[in-house]
Amino acid sequence: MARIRQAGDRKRPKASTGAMAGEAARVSVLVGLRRAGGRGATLVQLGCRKVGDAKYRAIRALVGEGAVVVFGDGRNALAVLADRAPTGEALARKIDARASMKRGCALGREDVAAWCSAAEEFLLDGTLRLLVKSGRLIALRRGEATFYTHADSFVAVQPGSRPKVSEPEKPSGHDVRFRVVEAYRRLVERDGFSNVIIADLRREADISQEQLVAHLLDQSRCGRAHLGRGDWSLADEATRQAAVIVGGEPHLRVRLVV
Amino acid sequence: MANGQPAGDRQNPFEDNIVFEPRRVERPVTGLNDAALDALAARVRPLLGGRRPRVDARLPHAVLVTSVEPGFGKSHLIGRLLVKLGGDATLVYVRPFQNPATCWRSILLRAVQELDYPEGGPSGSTPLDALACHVIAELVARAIRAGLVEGVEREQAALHVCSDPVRVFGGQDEAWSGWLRREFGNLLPFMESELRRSGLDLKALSGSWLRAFFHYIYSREDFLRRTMCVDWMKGEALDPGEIGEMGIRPSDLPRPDDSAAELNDVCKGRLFDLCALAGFHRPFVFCFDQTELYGDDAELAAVFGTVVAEMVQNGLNQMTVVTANLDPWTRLILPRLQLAYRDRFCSPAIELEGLDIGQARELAGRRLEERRVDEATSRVFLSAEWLGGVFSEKQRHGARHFLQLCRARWEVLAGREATVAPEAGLAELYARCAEGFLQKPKRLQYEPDILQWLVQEVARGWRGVMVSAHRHPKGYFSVQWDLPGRRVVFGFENGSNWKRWEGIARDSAALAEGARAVGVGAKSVLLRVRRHPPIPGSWRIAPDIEAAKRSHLHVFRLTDRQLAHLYGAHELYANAVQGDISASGVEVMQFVRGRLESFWRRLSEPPGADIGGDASDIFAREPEEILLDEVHRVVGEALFIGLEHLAARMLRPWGDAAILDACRHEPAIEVVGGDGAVALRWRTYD
Repeated sequence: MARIRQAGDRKRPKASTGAMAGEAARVSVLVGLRRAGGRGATLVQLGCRKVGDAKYRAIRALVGEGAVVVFGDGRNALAVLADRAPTGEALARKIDARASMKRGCALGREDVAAWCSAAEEFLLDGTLRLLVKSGRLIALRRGEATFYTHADSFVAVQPGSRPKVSEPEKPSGHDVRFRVVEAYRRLVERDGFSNVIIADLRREADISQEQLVAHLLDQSRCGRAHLGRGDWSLADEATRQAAVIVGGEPHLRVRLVV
Repeated sequence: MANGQPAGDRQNPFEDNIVFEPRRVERPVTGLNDAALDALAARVRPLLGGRRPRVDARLPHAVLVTSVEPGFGKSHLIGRLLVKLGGDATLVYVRPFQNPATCWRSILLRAVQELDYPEGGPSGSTPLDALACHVIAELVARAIRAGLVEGVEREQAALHVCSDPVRVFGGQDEAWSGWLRREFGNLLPFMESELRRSGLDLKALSGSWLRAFFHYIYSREDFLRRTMCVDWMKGEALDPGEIGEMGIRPSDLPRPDDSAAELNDVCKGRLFDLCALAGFHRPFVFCFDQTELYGDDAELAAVFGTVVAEMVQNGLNQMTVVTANLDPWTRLILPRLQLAYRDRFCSPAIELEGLDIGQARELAGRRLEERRVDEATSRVFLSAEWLGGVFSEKQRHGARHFLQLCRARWEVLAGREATVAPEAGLAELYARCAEGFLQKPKRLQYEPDILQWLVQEVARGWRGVMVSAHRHPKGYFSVQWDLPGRRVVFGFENGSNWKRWEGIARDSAALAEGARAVGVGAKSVLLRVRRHPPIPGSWRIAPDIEAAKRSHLHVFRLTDRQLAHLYGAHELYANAVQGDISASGVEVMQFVRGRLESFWRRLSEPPGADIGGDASDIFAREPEEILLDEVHRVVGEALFIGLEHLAARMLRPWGDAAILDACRHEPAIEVVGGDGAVALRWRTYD
């Protein structure tokens, strides 16, 4: 119950104020980092006002304990809980998988960075060097710019030997679905309509026409894809060639239920 | 019917699959596109609430409603929106404009036509009555509260006048209507001031709007005065002397010799003024339909983008809805819009869905029930096996596509061929389009864009006619034909201002003179409708106009039947371009050119020339206007009358053939004949 403060009341000792403030800062940092998850949070976002303040000291202590990892330094340093922090190996596997889907494409650093979270981007340059060194990526230089392409984009030919022609690995059923859905999302985001052109979907997903048709027909039967006839008279050759025939009629567009 | 099979002579219940008139729509199927309807209605909602007048009720985007293919129910959705809003908005259906230089005139004309049409029948009040009464009621209430009106309890009286403005000031409350008629002049300065203080940025003087509204409400019996008010709202050039009697200032009148661009600008101002004033009553929903037609012309498409952007930017109390099929929109129209204007459309667009199997069963079942098909036949028709087969590969079908499948199934079950030859199909469809216009007099308003489309686009392929734009500084003429030895220019003048027609006749004479100098005959054709007053009126310059009409000026006042067939041709073409029928736009163009052969000949021959043709050809000649008026009056009074008796009651001995011809041109009259006796029946429109 609240009461009025009296003149003879002793004041609380000052030493305990500092300890309580430090504990409060630690708790606040941990709560903030849990909320941020794998994205992490900058020191500023966690409430650090200056080097040496309570939050700053709390973060340094957590780093020392191995509970938090900090990427970079200065105002843009990013803190992540250790159990959520990206590792170089995981990032390398991720870039390897994504780049293999883009066989034959020359990817700039920005293209690869677009696949990364803010925390992963701190590891990006080192990971790219690792992948190039291990032969998973090939670095191509043009002027000052460096591009990367997946090693499977090329086949090495030795003089006097028959060229080794390897069939590109056919994506598995699960992979086809993943690619189609991801490609669909990108097209909807780009064009603003949920009924996308099937030819565009095939190009974006980078799968064969046969695979796409089989997948879309299967999804259409289940009600997870809705094929639309569009306007044949306005379609170019590429769009027509990618048509899915249902009931004897060509369908040029599809809307996925994602 | 044996074993549930349809009888071979039974009409197919699934014949009519196109929504011609969004205001008359089938009962919606449960759940179909409800989300789209709710999304549309939600967008209008911010315009409905708030204190009146709503001076800053502006939506940030136009709404795009698309479907992946034709026949998913875009027009049906607009009709449902109107029902859902329940009289809380005025729907203005805007067809594609043909002339970029007069785009705002076209939109304003449609808006005012919609406002000026009696909703409850010929003697009912119009939405314009309601708007005018609401504006005046609000301002009168303010005057009452300000103590300017003596002898009333202020708050009670103010609430009363605003409770039902149409009843109070529209004539039913004689005390208040009479009071306003007497005191309007005294109240006007206060009302003008209040209107200005409301925060509305009107282009025309607030006093002009108030006078136009007042005279419109109280000129029910004075057709000429009421028409003058409407013509002022349409931005027509009017005689300052005539309109000056109503107190409208000359500065608020377009001049007869204003350029086309200036007149177009005035119309834009009027339109946005109407939108602003709608804040006193109910918002507009402008629906831009048949947008595929803009795909034919890059300039039109670009101007369309500009129009939508300006509607969004400057139009208060309105929602702009654009309907389009997805491929024509993304491939033909969107690329021609300026980048900044594309952002004026809401994202994401509203995209319609097809029917699922349950909805399909409901739709087909309802059609069978409405056409009184017996249960056994219906059960066979909607067998689980057939429906399951239709929906096995695709879980959703467009409504029209499904109805076409039903149509084909009915034909097969009835033992008939499921397909129809294109020519016969087109003739039948054309007849139905024209009949649709004849059944709804409201649709027979003056539509200069359709008429321009006919003489500009359709006529292009006719007998070596060279069609070009004719850019007249004052917008008198806009299309030119060059034929061997002849030149024809076309104008679409909606107004009846004597000074403007004097200019038209003068420039027509100059064109004819210029053409004669190079050995070519020339005439000017002004296409008008029966609702327009005759040209010339009782003017001082009438003899000059009559002389011009005998020589080089052809004022072609189309009858309702002719108009219905011309508009029907446009409707048929629009259906083809939108993919609503199986014929292509090119096929329809060829068909229409052939059907309107005598129309083109009338337009290209000198005024008054007889082009021959049989009596059934409604374009070969039209009856004299005096005869049309007489026939309309006598049959309208008698309701049912034999031809002999009708001839006997005419003021002049026209002859049976001429009278019958006049009756055929009047859609309100049905010619009933048999065994040598002919009678005329007056039809009632619904």
